[in-house]
Amino acid sequence: MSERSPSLLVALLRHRLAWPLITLALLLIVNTVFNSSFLHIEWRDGHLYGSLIDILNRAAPLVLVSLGMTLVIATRGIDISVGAMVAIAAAVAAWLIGGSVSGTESRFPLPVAILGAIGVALLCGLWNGVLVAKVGMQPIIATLILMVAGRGIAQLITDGQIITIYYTPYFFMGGGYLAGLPFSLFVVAVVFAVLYLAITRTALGLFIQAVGINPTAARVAGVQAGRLIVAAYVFCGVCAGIAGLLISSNVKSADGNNAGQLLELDAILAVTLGGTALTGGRFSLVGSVIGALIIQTLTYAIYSLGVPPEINLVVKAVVVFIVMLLQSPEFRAQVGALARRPGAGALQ
Amino acid sequence: MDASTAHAPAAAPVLQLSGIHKQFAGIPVLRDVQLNLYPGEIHALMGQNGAGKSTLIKVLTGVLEASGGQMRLGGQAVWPDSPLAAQRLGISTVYQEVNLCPNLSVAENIFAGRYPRCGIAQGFRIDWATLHQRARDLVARIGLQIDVTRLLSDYPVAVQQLVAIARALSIESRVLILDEPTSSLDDDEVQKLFEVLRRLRSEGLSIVFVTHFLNQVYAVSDRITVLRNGSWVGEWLAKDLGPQALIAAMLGRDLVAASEQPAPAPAVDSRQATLLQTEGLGQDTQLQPLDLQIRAGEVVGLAGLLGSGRTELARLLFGLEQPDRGALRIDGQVVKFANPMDAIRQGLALCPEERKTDGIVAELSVRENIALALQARMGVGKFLSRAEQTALAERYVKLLGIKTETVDKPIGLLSGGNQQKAILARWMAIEPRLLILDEPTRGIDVAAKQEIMDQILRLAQGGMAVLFISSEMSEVVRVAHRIVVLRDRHKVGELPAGSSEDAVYDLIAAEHV
Amino acid sequence: MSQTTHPPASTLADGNPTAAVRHDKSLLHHLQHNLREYGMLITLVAIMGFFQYMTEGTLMQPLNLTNLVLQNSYIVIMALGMLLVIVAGHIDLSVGSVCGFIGALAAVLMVEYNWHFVPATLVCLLCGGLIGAIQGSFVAFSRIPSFIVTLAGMLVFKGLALALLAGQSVGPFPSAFQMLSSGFIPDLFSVEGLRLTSLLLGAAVAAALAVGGLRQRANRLRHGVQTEPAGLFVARTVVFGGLLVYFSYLLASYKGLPNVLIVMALLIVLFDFVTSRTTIGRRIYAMGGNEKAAKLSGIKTERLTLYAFINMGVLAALAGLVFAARLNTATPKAGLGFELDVIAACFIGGASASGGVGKVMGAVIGAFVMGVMNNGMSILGIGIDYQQVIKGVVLLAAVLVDVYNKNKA
Repeated sequence: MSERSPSLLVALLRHRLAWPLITLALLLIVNTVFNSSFLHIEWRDGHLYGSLIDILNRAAPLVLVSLGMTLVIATRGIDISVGAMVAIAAAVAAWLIGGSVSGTESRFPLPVAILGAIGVALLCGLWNGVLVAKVGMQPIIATLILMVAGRGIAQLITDGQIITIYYTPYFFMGGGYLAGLPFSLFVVAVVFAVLYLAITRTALGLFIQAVGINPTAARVAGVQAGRLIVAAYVFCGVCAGIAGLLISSNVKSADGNNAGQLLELDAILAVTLGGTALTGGRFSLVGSVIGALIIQTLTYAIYSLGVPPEINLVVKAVVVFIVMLLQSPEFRAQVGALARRPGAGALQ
Repeated sequence: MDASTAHAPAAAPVLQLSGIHKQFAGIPVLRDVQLNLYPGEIHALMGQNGAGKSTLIKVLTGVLEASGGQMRLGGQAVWPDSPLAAQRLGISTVYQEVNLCPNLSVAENIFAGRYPRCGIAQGFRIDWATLHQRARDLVARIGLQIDVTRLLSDYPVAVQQLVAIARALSIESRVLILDEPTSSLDDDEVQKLFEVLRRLRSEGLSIVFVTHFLNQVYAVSDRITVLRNGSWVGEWLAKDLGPQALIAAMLGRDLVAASEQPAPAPAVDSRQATLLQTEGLGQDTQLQPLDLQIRAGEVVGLAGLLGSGRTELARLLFGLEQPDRGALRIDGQVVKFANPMDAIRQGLALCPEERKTDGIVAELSVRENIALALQARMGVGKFLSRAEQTALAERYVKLLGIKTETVDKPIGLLSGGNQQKAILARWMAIEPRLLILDEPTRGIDVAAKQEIMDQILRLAQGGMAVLFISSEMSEVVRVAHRIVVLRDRHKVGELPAGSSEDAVYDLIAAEHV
Repeated sequence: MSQTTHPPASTLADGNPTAAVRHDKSLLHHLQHNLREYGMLITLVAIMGFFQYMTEGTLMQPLNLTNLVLQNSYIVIMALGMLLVIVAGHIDLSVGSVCGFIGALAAVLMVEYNWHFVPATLVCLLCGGLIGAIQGSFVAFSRIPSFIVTLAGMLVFKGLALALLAGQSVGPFPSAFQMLSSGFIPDLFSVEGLRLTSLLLGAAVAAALAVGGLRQRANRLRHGVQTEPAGLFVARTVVFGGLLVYFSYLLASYKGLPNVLIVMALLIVLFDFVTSRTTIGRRIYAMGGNEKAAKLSGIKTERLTLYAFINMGVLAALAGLVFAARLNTATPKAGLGFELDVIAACFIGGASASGGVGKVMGAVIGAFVMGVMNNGMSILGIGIDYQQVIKGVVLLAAVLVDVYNKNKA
């Protein structure tokens, strides 16, 4: 029997990225409604300038962390310590640069500071990965340990203070511009490209999905799940480290207590908004990028509405929650059941 | 074969399904199916994969809703809309993967959710004394002697299944459905289960018994209903339907031609190099020290009852478990496999027993599943492109007759037999020197079994060594050059090609003191 | 003969219950099988001994002990709720923030609006229940993983607490309310330097526990159920009872048993009863062990999850009130890091991350371990950053033990 081929619209809507893109578009529209100059971009001071550029710049750290989180979630894991890792990385970089106010002096050369920060974050990721893959802890518990202990570690590195960074070359990462666009975008682009190539041009994508969907079967088939899982957490750590550099470079300081606050929740939400299931398996890098942009645009919308900062947390959590609910099949079923007329039974 | 007593349906049926229709997205899966179950009988439901057995059971137990038809329980029209509703109506199911709570005691599992109460207004307080006593009575009723206060997880699957049956009794079921209950039981345990079923039958309980084992059908059933391709073929008294007729009904054609055994392959030239050798290989209580030799191109059958250690040996050989005694040699060199990849690199392959948990990656496509082991061996760097994967998959789809519209279909949507073929394809794709097959034909229809067995013979003739583990002794004796017999986790002996099934059973039985 | 790993091939013909009892009488075997439970008690004693030594005797001073109880009561109270949540297979990361939020709410009601403390307390507890209901319904009905829901909750209530207090600390509370945290039970017989009532109460409780244990043991023996060797039973009862009496004596030497300790004791008895003897309690264990099987038993798993979270919310609210009453102010920083203490307490006490396993007494012992650590580290003057790190290490150790146990079986 022949079926009418589904209309193009229906086919488009079924695409995995459809809902994330629609959500992002809606948010952009909302922003434009409240702020008529929202979409306005101009060239100023030798670079592009505008709200959209601002959003892209601020979203960069979140995009990075979301990319790392995507891999971890795909292996059926979770990493709630990314905020702590961001704080640690920032603290390490700040310490390596030193607090000299001259602006041209740095205790260690800039490359050393950058590599040092990323290296420490890598070790944190390795720690998480080993606990999950080799020791066999549940990811939520394993990363909970670093989440709490990590802030303490960051505070210890900064001696409980907020270290201000005066070294001007450091600011380029988070606040500089290259070819008119924020430098952070290029950082994100490079990381994304590396990851994308790794996923599609090597067996990494296949293996991670296999491990996430059925770890036992993957093991019997010869896939070294342990190494993959550790690699996913390490990569997440590296992403968090780079994000830490971008953040501290942007605000010109390292705050052990507050750097990266909320980041874990934002990242998890970005990944789920982008279509990757929390149960692991199939994942979408592009989806996570869109999800991160959604979160950032939402934050921007909240700010431009003039909502006081305390309520900001609440509003954001609530709005994202609504979107997640809409995506949850159980919720949709319940709402559908309410909407359906009673008596429309299936049997005669 | 133990002929069951003739059951003249004088009484009214306890359960009557008629005209059952079911479609999935316009494709009919059940067409006008019927089932008549009388009080005090054991009724086997038979059919090859794709016949609609499991769909019918799901309709019966409220998991699925039928698109049409009628169901009458004790004369009343009923329609369970959930497993809980079916249970309340008196239809209980015991699944192959026992669905109980391992963290609770046996007694608590039996009465979960229906605790006998005491205290104020018979309210919240559990009467543990009564609960334990009633549990003991129930368990004794089915002839089981266990401590009902111990955790369920302390007991093996066979006992857990009987606990599930005890639970069904405690809710006064009228119909008991056993869904492939014997797949993980050894012969002793199967006999025990049948004793219990016969006892329950004599008490008037009606039992629906779904199984693939022909012996068991005749050992214990009164009547047989056969389904084929979603349609009802017929309902017979077990004594009136011989095995040939049963197979013919299930397949719709005569299998006589297929059951003709090809002449057993001549014994492999003993001057052929020894590919694999174990010297006293063992793993604490899992496997006693065992010596084994496999030569290139040899098909070695590994025979034994369930629980005799065959799968344990396979897992040791493949690096899924580590031995704590003895040595393993490949081509004469001692090797240690820390994980399956080590074994794969030495040319070994293992097609596992449990395809759902150890075999298929359900959401990935057929092509990705088939390419997985080959890709794992090639490493992360060298990647088989999508075109290469497709070509590989299509080659095996054709070779093994895997029924799927496209290789991009998620493997989870294929039927069990086709999934098994795809997993076999995965291991054939790495062109191993030794292929270990653990129950490759379990849960598969007769025709597919045939195809797989033929493929195994072809592989062996092409020079691949095969270690063939199967509970169906007829298969083992048919294809093996040599049969290694295990019992109770150790090797009891070896038999040459052409040995009869009886010879194997005798060898096993000889150990029975 | 190994215990649970490879059960005998056939227990059908010869699974003799008396054989099992006979076997377990072996002391070593019994210890091995129940190592976890004895291990916890030993850990508590060991940690107390360690800090007693390190603080040169300050830990067990009656004054300090009283402070220990008062300062860490929130952990015990919330551990009772968290245990049920973990047994049900979930987790609640928001308890610290809810604690702080309710404390803030109480302050606003009682200090700024001058409510009487009774209706204010009731409203706060109700509010806690409501919060638990909201979070619980997302977990139970919309099937969103609990750690996401409660992670969001953690942030929402942190923000709300800040907003409610407008960034300030609010206090002081009416004195009647303060009695909750800083009051002591009245002393009926006055003896010099010793609150005899408290001591007698403690002794009475110890005796009751011993008698109860004895009766339970006799009952099990009568039914042929496996039970611990007599020597071990006596030793355990004596040690536990002795500790209880000693503890009461120490407290009695200062101001007697604090009110909050009575509240805690009542809650412990209640929850122990619920988890071991009531239908609703055992249903939660069934659900945690195998949700599908529980559903098939007619257990309404969604509702149970909801109840577990409501319960958690109420207890978190109670802990928030106790904490605020103790400090006599509500601060925006209240509740920071509480969830780690509580979760760690449950894991130290033997709860399993996968659900279905965990005892109330274990969680209580775990909570006391955390409390002793908090107190001991404060006395030693260890900075809060180091404390965070050390707590992380302790949680790590507790979970490692859980994983080790699971892998062994």
